[in-house]
Amino acid sequence: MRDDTHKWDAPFPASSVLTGEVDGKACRVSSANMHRLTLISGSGVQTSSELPLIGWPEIAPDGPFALSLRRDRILEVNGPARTDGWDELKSLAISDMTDGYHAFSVDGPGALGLLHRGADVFAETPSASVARLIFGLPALVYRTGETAFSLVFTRAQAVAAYSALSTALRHCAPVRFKERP
Amino acid sequence: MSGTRLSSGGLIDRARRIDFNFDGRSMHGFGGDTLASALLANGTGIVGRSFKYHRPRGVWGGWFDEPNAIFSVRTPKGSLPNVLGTTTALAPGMDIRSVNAWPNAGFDVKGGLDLFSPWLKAGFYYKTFMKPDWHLFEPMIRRMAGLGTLEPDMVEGYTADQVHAQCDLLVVGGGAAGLAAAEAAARQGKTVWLVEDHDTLGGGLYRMGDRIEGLQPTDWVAARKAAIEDAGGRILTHTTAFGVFDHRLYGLARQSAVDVAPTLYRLRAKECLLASGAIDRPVTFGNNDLPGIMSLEAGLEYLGRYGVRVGNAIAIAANHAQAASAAARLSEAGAKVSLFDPAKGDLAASGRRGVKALRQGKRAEAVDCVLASAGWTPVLHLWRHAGGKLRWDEALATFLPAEAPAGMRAIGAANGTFDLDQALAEARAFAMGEPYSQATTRFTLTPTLPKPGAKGRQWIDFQHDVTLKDIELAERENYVSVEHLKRYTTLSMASDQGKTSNIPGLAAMAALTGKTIPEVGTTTFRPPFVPVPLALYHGHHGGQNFRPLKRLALENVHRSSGAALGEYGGWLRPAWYGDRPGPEAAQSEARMVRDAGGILDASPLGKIEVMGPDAEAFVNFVYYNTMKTLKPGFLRYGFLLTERGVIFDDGVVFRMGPNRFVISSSSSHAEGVTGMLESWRQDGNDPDRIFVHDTTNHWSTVTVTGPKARDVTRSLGLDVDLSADAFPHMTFRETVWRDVALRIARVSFTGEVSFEISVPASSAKALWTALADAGRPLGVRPMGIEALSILRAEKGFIIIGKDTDGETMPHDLGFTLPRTKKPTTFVGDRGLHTDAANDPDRRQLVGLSAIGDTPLPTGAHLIDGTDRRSFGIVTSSYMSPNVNRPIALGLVERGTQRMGETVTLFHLGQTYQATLTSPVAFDREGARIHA
Amino acid sequence: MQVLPCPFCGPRSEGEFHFAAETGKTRPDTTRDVSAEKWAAYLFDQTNEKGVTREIWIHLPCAEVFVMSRDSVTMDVLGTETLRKLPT
Repeated sequence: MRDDTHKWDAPFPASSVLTGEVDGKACRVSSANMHRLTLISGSGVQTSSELPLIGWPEIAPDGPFALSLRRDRILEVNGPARTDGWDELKSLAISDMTDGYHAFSVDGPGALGLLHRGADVFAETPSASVARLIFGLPALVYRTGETAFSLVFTRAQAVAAYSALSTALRHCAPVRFKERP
Repeated sequence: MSGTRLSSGGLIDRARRIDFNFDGRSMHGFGGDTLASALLANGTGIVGRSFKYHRPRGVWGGWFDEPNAIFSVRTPKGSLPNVLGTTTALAPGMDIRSVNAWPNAGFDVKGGLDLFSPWLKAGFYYKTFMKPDWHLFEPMIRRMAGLGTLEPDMVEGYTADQVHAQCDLLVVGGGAAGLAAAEAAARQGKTVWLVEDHDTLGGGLYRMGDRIEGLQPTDWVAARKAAIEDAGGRILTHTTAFGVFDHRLYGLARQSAVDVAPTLYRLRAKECLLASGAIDRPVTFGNNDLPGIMSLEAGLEYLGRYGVRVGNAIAIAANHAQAASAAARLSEAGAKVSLFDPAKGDLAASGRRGVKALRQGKRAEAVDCVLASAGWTPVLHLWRHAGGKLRWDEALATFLPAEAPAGMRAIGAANGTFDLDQALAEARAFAMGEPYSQATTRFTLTPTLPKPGAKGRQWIDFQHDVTLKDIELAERENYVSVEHLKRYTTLSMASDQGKTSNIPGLAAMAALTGKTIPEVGTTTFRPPFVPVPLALYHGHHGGQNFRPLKRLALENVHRSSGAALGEYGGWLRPAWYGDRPGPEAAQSEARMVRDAGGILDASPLGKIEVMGPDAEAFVNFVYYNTMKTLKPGFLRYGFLLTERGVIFDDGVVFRMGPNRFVISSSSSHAEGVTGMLESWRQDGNDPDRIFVHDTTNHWSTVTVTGPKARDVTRSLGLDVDLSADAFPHMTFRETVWRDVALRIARVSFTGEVSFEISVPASSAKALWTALADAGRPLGVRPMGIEALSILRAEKGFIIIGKDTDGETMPHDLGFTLPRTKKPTTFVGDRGLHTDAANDPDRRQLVGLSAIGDTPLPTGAHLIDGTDRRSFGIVTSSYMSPNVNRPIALGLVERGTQRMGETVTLFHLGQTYQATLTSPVAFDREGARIHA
Repeated sequence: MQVLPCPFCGPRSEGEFHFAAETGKTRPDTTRDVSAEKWAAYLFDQTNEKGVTREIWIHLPCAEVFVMSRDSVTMDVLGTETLRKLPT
């Protein structure tokens, strides 16, 4: 029976922004807002979704899209409202997960470098799924621009992810490589 | 020994003077110096005392092969133990102290140990101090032996950066071969990384200082560096490739100064060219450990890089072609040089605090320095990490690369290509993927290996004080396998990991056993190649990032309500509320719940949706209990088992509809249960007809429990009839509250009327606030996990993993029916009918009523009066504020047949008495839960 | 740290995978009598092949359960097969 409150940082405010340099290049981390997330599973869900399907390293559009998670699972981002449960007609399992995740935007020329502190995620290695481990935590990692990324963690692990991102950003070694021509 | 700084030459910056102290004496060096070069320039001969015999020792090597020059260093940032002097850059204000020497290296009180050396041979400590018990002597011996000490102001707590990276080609080593190869590959468009552990590129080019391809070494190196970087290649200096791991993963450690955080690069390289060079092999002769005796390569390095002439009268004892040119180079630098060929007769050095003379037969030269080399040993540690083979080369008397590991080739001196022009040609060819066959080398030598049976002491492993006689002793006592030899004598087990001692040691054993060196073989090469700080490996995964806890959506609400937070099953949860000591608060909250009620954040409870046409059959299959008869709107408690029949998790199953269930796993187990369901779904069932969604994170759950729970819940104004008749125990309703979905269930872990209310996490604060506001005037306030633990124990409700262990099956807890009656197959069904499962002596869940006022210690064993055999264990124990006596749960052999029996318990030397009772201590009829 | 190929996601770091079991075991039909020996073999017997092995692994981020052939000596991955019916 121990009071360990002091050992753990209080949850970060949603408005907090981290900035720093990675390999000599600017990088910014902030919380991103996604107003509806719907988890949909079904054996044909990868081909039947009307929304653009995003894997790695595809760039997600501004409007609604679907993240490819598994062979038989997608996560619709800002898509249409759907009813939870088993859709008999379409043979789809549907769950509202809007409050189940917390998303961070990582952008700037140093953004990919920050991701490399947590995972071996390279544009040269495409993947059918955006689900991976980064900083040891399960996450959905996808691109939202040339040097902009979205890192989506489960809500319960958002504080851990924030702490990992801020520690990594704070301790980046000041090594600056010459750009490849 | 009398090292001297020359007025010109070397790579050092004479305009940048650096002041430092060594063992209390003020000295100075220059920018670009290492600790070792600066000490040599100041004429320091003795830099430390040896590990076992406290013999005086001087600098032997020029880089990572150094066995002796290990220091404790204090910088403005703090102290550092065991700093290798030859590879550490000198910095202003450093306070350097020799280790294993007191009061200092020059005058060591324990130096007398060397007089006892005939008795201090290999295995001496273990043989002598075996009786009565080694552990009695160990602390004293550990104080006498060993290297540096940890100071209170040690530099620590820095955070290493860790980077994942990949490339086409990694070149290890920035010497001539490495630079030429990296340039050729980068020009071809490959992504190239070049790593060099010095802060300056060029490797061994500065030793002889000869022109290379028509240029001065510094100019040639600058041209290569520019060409590599212009083609997009990355060059990392002061970076060591310290290990090769599975699937071509290379560990690179970059550390720009000794007291700053290092960086770990986990580099995945498609190809690697190993240009790690070669180091000098020591010549094994009498008193070859005296200060002033160094490797030939080191003597040339100190001259070429640091402008230090290591002696005035230098004997070169080398068996190869480089001896003459080295002599010319050193003479030019002002030394008086004599040449010895160790192949022509046994050598012996003399002197006490430093070498004074070198003899060979009748010839003797008075010298203050001996530079020795028995040939060059390619540095092939990474080659072996990667699984490459070695072959013994008789002519060069060393191991050379044989069959290559996947994706790696050795070039230059590392490949035994010791001639510079050939090394460049080979490097460029291999970098372009072209063949190259080695031409005849101009580097010839007369093999010179240790000769057992000589008089006097000849050192094989300087750092661990292993002599040729120790190896002879090991052979006599039949420790002839290299792995036995290593452990018996500690040969090559020091921090230099045998970089210089390995081949002489193996050669000595080969000679003693009449085998060839390849027959003796080498010990295993393992990462790291050089010592690296542990901080490198953990990176930023320290403190809160080591094993981060999951956080509640309501954490800030709990913090502002004065919650004491603690870890429960991987979550940071309120243990209790308010400023009181924990035990007092838990008692008071537990009483409050039975008197009025409590409000609990139960969000970690799993919410795992199972959907699809086969969902019913699947849930029925994975559960011990029959679930297919469960009707929509109802809940059922049940167990998930392993195939052995052991309880994996318990929880409540919600039936939402014909094709939809929600599994409410225990709080610490949502991910484990989801994983178990996924593997059964895909391996053994039709995954197109079953889907599993873990939605735990989307929901927050607030439980209101106690006699006034209904009054508090009513305040939400839900369109649900909360009366006991309309909404009985083990049912649930779905509705909408303030425009969001709300699920309310009657299920209880306290034995009181409880409403478990779930809403999407973004509405959790509103729900909590509404319930807390409604509860306050009724005396219903927030409660923590500690109170919940007491309340559930009063009711005999178990916690999986606390009140069960890796053997517990449902029938041990009294849940016997499905085991004999469930008609369909289920996970673990056959496991419940093994001989072990049928054993009448199985441990069963019981209650224990302590005799006296003190709760039993959790973990106490029930013991038999005669043989003190444990026949049970206390799994949970509390003071109960509601029955006003200590209560406990336990697992006890044949427990259910022993009710009323008085038993003796044992814990940490104390004994206790208790009576075995029903696990249920409060409200045995269970009336309150249905109220 | 190995790189293992998930049949759906492609190459990923070893840390994202869990070993599940050796292949070749089928759950005995527990609606009939299963001898203690047969049940024990199902639970505990491992062949522990040196060299080429066929094993069931799980890629945790996408929960794919699949068969991987690999060499337990050289650590070479020889191939993977999904356990799933592929869309036709």
